[in-house]
Amino acid sequence: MTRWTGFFASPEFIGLSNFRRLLRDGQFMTALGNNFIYTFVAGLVVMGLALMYTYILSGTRIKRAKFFSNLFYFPNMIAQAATAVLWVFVYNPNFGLLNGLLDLLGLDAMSQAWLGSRGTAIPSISFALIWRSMGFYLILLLAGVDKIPGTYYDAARVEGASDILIFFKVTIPLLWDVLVIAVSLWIINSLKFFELVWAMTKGGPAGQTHTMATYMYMMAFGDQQMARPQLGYGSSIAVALFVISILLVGIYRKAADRDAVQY
Amino acid sequence: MRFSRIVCALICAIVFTAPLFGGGQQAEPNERLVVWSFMNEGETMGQWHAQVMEEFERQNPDVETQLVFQGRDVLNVLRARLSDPSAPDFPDIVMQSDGLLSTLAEEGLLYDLTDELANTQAYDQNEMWIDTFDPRLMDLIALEDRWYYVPESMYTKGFFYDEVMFEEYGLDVPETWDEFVNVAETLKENGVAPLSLDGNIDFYNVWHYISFAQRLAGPDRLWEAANGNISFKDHPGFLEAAEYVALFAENEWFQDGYMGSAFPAAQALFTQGQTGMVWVGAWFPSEMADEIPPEMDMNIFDLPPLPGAEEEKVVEIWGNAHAIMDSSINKENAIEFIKIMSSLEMQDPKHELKNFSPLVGATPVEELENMTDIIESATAVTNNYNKLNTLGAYWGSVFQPLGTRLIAGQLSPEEFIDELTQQTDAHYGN
Repeated sequence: MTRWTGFFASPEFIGLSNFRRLLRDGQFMTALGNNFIYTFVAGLVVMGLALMYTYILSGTRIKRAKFFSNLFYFPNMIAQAATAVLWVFVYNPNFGLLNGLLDLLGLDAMSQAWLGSRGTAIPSISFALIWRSMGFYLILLLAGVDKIPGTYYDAARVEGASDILIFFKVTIPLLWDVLVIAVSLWIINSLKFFELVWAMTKGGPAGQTHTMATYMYMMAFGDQQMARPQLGYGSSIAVALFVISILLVGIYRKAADRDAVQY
Repeated sequence: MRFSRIVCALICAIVFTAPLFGGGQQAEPNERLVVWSFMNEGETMGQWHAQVMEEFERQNPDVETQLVFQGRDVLNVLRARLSDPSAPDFPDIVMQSDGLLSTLAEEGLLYDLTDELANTQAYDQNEMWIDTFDPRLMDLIALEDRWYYVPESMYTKGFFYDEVMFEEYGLDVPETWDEFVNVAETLKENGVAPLSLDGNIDFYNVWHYISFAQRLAGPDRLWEAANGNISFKDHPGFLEAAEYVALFAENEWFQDGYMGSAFPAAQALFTQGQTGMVWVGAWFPSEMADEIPPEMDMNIFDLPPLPGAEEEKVVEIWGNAHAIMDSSINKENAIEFIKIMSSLEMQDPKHELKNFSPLVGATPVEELENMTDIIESATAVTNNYNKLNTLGAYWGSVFQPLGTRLIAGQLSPEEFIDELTQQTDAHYGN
């Protein structure tokens, strides 16, 4: 509710002007849209993959399951800034690994500046995000599966149920609480998604890959060549981010609320 | 039980009284000097800051010194630390570009150095301190005829090129727009991308439009339009400027995939000889000093005069600068540090790092041999980015993104002007 650079002079009270400005700020709307893409589209892929690998790695289908789950978790152990630098090199249009690979496969017509426009940058960042995040949700779900008593599986097998049927009829219902927590965490994390985007594109090109968090940071603290940052306006973006997070998580928790399954 | 109560009481006493002893002992004035560099430790100019500090320490062995490499985020770190300016590690000196430091000066956070500059002698010259600096730069960085920071460098913008490559293709430095087009096309015909651009840096992208608009509409008119006082449709120069920028993308003068190029990849392409020119600030030779191959003969030229321009040669001049915090209790030390920084003696090691000195009579950097001519031939001078980066959110959320969309070819010149007019009106509530 203030106009303030965050330096010495007193903030000037301007009421709800910052919030009114937010509603007609095209850059903020783009950032909000990007957040929804990360939350819902990338979220679907992350949760889908995490569930798929939970199915594959749980039980006795695969040897050394622990090794593989740790392998998937490994990207999560690398600092996000380092991950971002790695992917920036992969996507580099001139000497990047991805374009190099496409050239090698004779698909050089598909080579492009992956971070150069919104159409390719959002999927490229999403891919890096999915690569980095999936292992964390996989570990959560696997921990949940470990807590399910083996007798349920034994009983289901005696009754002749297939592995896939057991997964959908036994594992997922008994994993429901963990799954709800995992999705809630994903919603919160994806809405405040910052590090990868900031380190990979700084919200560019033309602010088209901003998330609410990166846009908030740029407004509140400026970028390398922006004098007079606007901490007051940045704060209003932070408030909007908080309210949207509460609303989305609240709606999701309400929708996912169901009686505990007992067998 | 009783023992536990005594332990609890002791812990409570320590917790509640600890803040009274926090912050350490207040230092006596001029016992210390804390300098915050905006460079990172490995950068060339960071090495020079360390050399200046070594010289200061040699002259002042009793002063406790601290040189902190805060990187480009120095002002954000400072902002977080402003709540306790009496802390012993609070900076006496901060460094940044003059445009960014102006925010601090306007907020009353910087010490007014006008009297020191005008009335005291330079460190190793028999002249008043202010007279040792290039007067055009000093005029531009003054705020209402007062000086709050002292420049360590002097920059302008230009096209860097390799004279060896130009000779190889029979090219001369272009003196007209048509000659510039010929240079670009000849390079392209020979399989060399005429220009390098890291398209992930919005301020590099929008700088193209600023450079053309400064000339075709005039720097004052550009400033007025960006402040919402006049429309971008009020003068044909704004559209013409957009048409010139659009040519760069249409004619494929940038390297392949320039929009996805992350700094400093494109600059590296230039030093590797894969592109013919790079249009950036005169910091370039210093920034890329370690990458420039010995066989490269780098130099700089200005954007040639444009037909029908409102102002024939508008030249941006700016510098990175050192400022003293108004709250500093070590001002004498701080002033001496800055005087040593701006001494003739300290210009030599900086010269080796290929950084252009703001001092009158300093040895010119070989790679910036033409920079003096560029500045002296200017018909008008203005600060970096025509000072548009001081417009805060307008710069960050309107001007820069649209400049990027123009150079990416996502907007035609007409669409760019329409969007710019509409978003400027919306931003200022016109």
